[in-house]
Amino acid sequence: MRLPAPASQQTAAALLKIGGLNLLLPQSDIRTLESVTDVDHTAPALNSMGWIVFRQKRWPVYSLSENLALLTQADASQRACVMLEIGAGYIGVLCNDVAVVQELPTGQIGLPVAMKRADTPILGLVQYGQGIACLSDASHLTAFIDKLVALA
Amino acid sequence: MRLNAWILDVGLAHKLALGGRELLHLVDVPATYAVPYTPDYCCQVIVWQGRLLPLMDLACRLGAAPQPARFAAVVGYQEGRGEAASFGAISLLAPPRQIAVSDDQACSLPEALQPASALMVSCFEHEGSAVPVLNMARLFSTPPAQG
Repeated sequence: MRLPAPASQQTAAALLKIGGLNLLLPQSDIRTLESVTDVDHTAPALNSMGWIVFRQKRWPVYSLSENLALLTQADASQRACVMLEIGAGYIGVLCNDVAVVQELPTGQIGLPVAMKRADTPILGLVQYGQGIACLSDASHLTAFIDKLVALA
Repeated sequence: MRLNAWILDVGLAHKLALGGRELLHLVDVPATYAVPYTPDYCCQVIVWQGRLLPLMDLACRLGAAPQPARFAAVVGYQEGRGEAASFGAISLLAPPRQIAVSDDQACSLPEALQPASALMVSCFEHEGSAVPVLNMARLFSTPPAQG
């Protein structure tokens, strides 16, 4: 199977922990990391958790479950907010924890065809720690969230 | 001509079969890892010899309730002639049984499994029941339907 380009060709990746899900994105895809305490919950955008200010503008913040379902109720364990670029703007994605992984383990595979929905944001899999991590990138993850928001 | 086949108990009323050379390894109570946003019938992977393999729940794939993976049958197959081997795993309720099958045992696919005929290569009669033979390449190379 072809290796997924995004995370495999980066020397460093950001590991987003969302519940039991390990999600690896190229580190360069993370624009900044904010605290959930900076999220303004006033009049949130549709299906979002609120707003966060970044580069003098406010952007919607979303929360996902470990199954990549859009959450509409805040998960108190999600304390970090990563800012990802989407088109000409940004969105925030809440996660439990974010860590930098300097060297990815070898043995990455593309997501097996039998598992691969056409719109999945998961590009590949790799053994990580005592389990696995899912490989993605900002463009696929934001497109996926965009679609979830539109369908919710 | 007689060929070897493996009879699989995947938790369906019908037993299923694999070609004798397609089963590579039986893993007892495999550790499984969930992959999000995947179909219910193939939502986990196992680690086998340092590789991550998709774990197929055939009961669920063929319309029944999901079954726990008490065993995993590691299978090898080719997408086409001359291509490198690909690997996958099938969730089983019991260890597989090896039998010899001859041409005169060929029979029709059971009515209940007709909708999944694309996933089968043939069918044979064994101990009074029809046993479909799985098409491994088709099973692991067919993406989930949308929606």
